[in-house]
Formats: sequence, C-alpha cells, structure tokens
Amino acid sequence: MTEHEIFFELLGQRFDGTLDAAGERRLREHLASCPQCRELYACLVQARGALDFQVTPPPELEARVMGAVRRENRQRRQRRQKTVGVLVGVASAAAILAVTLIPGYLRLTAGMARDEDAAPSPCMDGDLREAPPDEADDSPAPEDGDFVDQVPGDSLKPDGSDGQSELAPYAPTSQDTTDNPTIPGESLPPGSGGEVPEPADTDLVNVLDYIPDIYVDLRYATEDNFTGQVIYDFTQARLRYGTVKKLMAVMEELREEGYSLKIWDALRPVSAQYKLWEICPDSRYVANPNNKGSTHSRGGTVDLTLVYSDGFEVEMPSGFDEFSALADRDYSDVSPQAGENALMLERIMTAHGFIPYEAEWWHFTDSTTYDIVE
Amino acid sequence: MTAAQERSVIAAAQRGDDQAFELLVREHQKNVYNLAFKLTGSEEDALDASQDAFLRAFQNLKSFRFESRVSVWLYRLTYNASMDIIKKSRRGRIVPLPTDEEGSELDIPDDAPPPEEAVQRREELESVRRAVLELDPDKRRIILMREYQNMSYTAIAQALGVEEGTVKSRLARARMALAEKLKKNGTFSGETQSNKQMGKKEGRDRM
Ligand SMILES: [Zn+2]
Ligand SMILES: [Zn+2]
Repeated sequence: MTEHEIFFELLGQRFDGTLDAAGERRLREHLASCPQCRELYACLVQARGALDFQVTPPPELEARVMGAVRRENRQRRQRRQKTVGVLVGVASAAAILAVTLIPGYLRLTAGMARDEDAAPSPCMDGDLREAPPDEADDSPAPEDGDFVDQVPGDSLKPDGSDGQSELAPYAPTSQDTTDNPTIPGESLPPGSGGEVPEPADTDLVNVLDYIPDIYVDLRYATEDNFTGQVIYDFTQARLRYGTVKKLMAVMEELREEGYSLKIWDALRPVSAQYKLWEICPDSRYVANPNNKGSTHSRGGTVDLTLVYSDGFEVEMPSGFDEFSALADRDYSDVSPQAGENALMLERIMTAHGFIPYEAEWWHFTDSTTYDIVE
Repeated sequence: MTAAQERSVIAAAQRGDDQAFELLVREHQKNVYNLAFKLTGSEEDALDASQDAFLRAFQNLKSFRFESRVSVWLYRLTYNASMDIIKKSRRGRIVPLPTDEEGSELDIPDDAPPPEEAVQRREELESVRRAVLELDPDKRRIILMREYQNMSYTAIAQALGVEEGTVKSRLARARMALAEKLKKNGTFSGETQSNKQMGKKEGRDRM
C-alpha cells in the first residue's frame, strides 16, 4: 500500500470520527508533505458537501406505487379465489388485520387465524378447491367475508372510484412532518424563550446569538487591520445560519479540548469589499470586487483562529492578514507548534464541512455555497 | 422499523397485504428517492426510478429471503433502476451538459432566474454524479453504499461478502479514485487549485 493509500484510509477514519492520535499525526504529516493529496482531499471534502442534502419524494411516488400494487393484489386475489376458494381469503383477512407495527399484535392475529382455520367449518367438509367465491358470503364468519370483499386500499378513495386510477389521493401521514429539523434549545438566541422559529440555512444571523462562548474581534470594524482604517459600519460577525450550525459542531469539539475560536472576519458585504479595494487596489492584498470578489461576500466564509477557552490566542503561523509566505498552509517555514496548531484548526474545520483556503491559514469557506450579499 | 417489525411487515406483504407494503414504501421512499435523485440528477428520472424499484420489489417480494435488511435490497433495486434510466437516456437522447453555459441558460426562465447558489449546488451535484458514474463498478458500488446510503461497515461487508477490514481499504481506494476524477474534471479544484496557479506567478489573491 502506498503512503497515499494509507492517507486515504486514515482520512476514512477521520470522517468516521474513529482516528486515534497517532493516526492523526500520521495523516497531518502526509497532508503537510504531499500537495497532491491535499488537493484530492479538498476535492473529496467538497464532493461530500455536495452530496450532503436531502430531497423530499413527491407525493405521486407513493400514490403511483400503491395504485399499481393494489391493482395487482386485487387481480391476484381474484385469480386465487377462482381456483383456491375461500380459505385464502380468510388468510389474507388475517394479514389485513395484522397491519400494525407491533409484532406482538401480529403474532396474536396470526394465532387467531390459525385457530379459525382449525375450527370446524362447513367449508372443511367440502372440496375447498372448488368452493365458488359466492359461498364465502355464506360462511359463518361474516367479518372474514367483509375483508374478502373489501380491498383495503379502496377505503382510501373517497371518490368511490374502483381504485384503478394510478393517482390515488395522497393522504398525508405523521411521517411527513418528521423531517423538520428540531431546534436545539441551547442554540436559540438568548431571551427568545424558545419560541423563535429556527432560521433557514440561508438566513444571515449574528454568530454570537447562537454561539455565545465564541470570541469575536472584527478587525475591519476597527483600525486594527492592514489598512489602518475602519472599513465596516457594523460590529457583528454575521454568517449564514447553515454555516453557523457547522461552527457550532466545531465549537462542540473544541470545548472538550479546552479551546475556542476567535472570529476576525465574517460576512463582508460587496460594498465593504469595494471600500477595501479603493484603499488598496492590488489583488495580492485585496480580492478585486470587479472580478470574482471575495468569498466573504457570500456569508459562508469566516476568518478565525484558535484560542484557549479563556480567549488567549494559541500560537499560529502568522498574524491575521499578514502578507508574507508565513500565511499560507505550507507550514514548513513556521515553528512546529504553530504548524501543529494550524493543522488542528484545519482538521476540525474540514471535518465539519469547511474548505480551507491555501493562501491563508485563517480563512475557511463553507462547502455549501451561498449567494453574494451586496 | 426494527428488524423484527420489518420481518412481520414483509411477511404480511408477501401474503398480499397492500397496507403492509404501503408501510414499506413510507418507510423507505425517502432514502430510495434520494439515492435515485443523486444518481440520475433529475426529479423526473428519480421518480421513475423509485417507482420501478418499488414495483420490482413488490413483484419479487415472494423471493425475499430475509438474508439482508429490506433497505439494502431496495437500494440495489434502486441503483439498478437508476442505471437503466441513465443508460436509456444516454442512448436515446442527448443530455445537455448542465455545466455548459448555453445549455443551462435555456432552462432558466427570464422572469425568475434561479438563485445563483441553487445553480451552483446543482452543478456541484452534477460533477459528483459524473465522477461517480465514471468510476469502475466495484468502486462505484462501495462509494454509493457508504457516501450515499450511509450503510454501516458491517452491512457493506455482508452485502459484498468480505471482511470489514477489506471494506475499509476498498473504500479508501475508491475515495482516492473518486477524488482523482473530481480533480481531473475540474469543478472541485475551487480556491485551492486556482490559488496554486496564482502562487506560481506572483503570490496568491487575498480573500
Ligand atoms: Zn499523498
Ligand atoms: Zn478571509
């Protein structure tokens, strides 16, 4: 097995959450030394993100399938009744009675069917195979006769049609509502009393409302950034709710280890990107808003660093927005501890659906893409 | 549904009980339809494939031997039905490439352009879909089982008749092959690759 193959086995364990410390070290070493696997890794993380959605089957599916199934079952039953006679009808009546998910009840009804089969019946004396279907109505078990005549599916058709239509009316069931995501109580905005509906994934929210113990130091809302000027007219770190949910998962993992995150930049509306570009119109330092712009303008990108749970910054490869080779994700030029920390941040962020940006160790983008915010 | 409940329901459905079969459809339609959608990439084809899969299940219900869970059996039927539809559409009509600029413009009504993110998601799904279909069948199958259907290693091992350790190493190779296809096809190079190229010149763009 090649080193690359071993890397992918370790990666599988990381996806499963079963990778031990030694494996994690080995995986990081390979990531740091193999640009090829870094790229493959990024592709794979994105692909997993692209598959990470659910669609709801249209109601026609069940209606169409069941329309065909009922028709087929009825035909089969009629064929059997012509040749086999009424006992089959009794057996299928037992099956119909047994429509329940409780196995005990199922056994009970099955047992009842057997008892009835064994009980003396006028049918037992005659030749069962030749009993015409009409005689079923004369049998001493009228409820069985009812079941034989009534195809259960027909009761679902209020229009009294014969059930031949493929598009039976769709009856919503309790299962239809089970897909609604539940709101984790602790993620609700403070003071909401739990009554506020959960935002949509595309809603822009204030990160602190949902992750109260995250640190926010929005550099572009202060003069403490490379331009020396205040760029933002707001002070909240805002992101898409879908992205915040991923950050929640990251934080959950970090809390256990005694760490937290500090956000340096989050949503940067296009207007703010223009302001940056006016001050510094050089794409080596600022993404050109007239071209592709910055991923920060989509609300799924965040600049952050690892801090201890008390907010004290952990050693990292460089400062925020440092324009040197130290800022990229090649950690061979920084202290082992800084490289280790940056890789830890990278590992946790990617494990929860973020894509690291090669040129800036602090910059992560949600694998789900959002629209640009003007 | 527990395995025991599933047995009872299947047994009832085998005896011709419509409502028992309906329980199976309700229980599994979401997973079946999602797999079909992610494989065929279209709502219409996904509906057809799911319907085919359930009807094939119904027709072969008598031969179901409880050797595997119903879900595994249904997935196989869904996969086959989806592949049949994909093959037919390849032969019968020219499917416009969704990433093709002109082709996608045709689908967009003037008054209501779909949000850019929806288009992008669709493109991403399409790229994954294509890369997965390009994999050789053994690799594709194990990717589907793990990445699309979230099957446990035990269930995959059972379905393939191999040890769990073998499942993991095969999955690793399949993931690697998939990543290579994705990289080759280009949609998923994203920031990482474009900035690698930038890096060759004079430094990378700031974000
Ligand atoms: Zn490698
Ligand atoms: Zn950034």
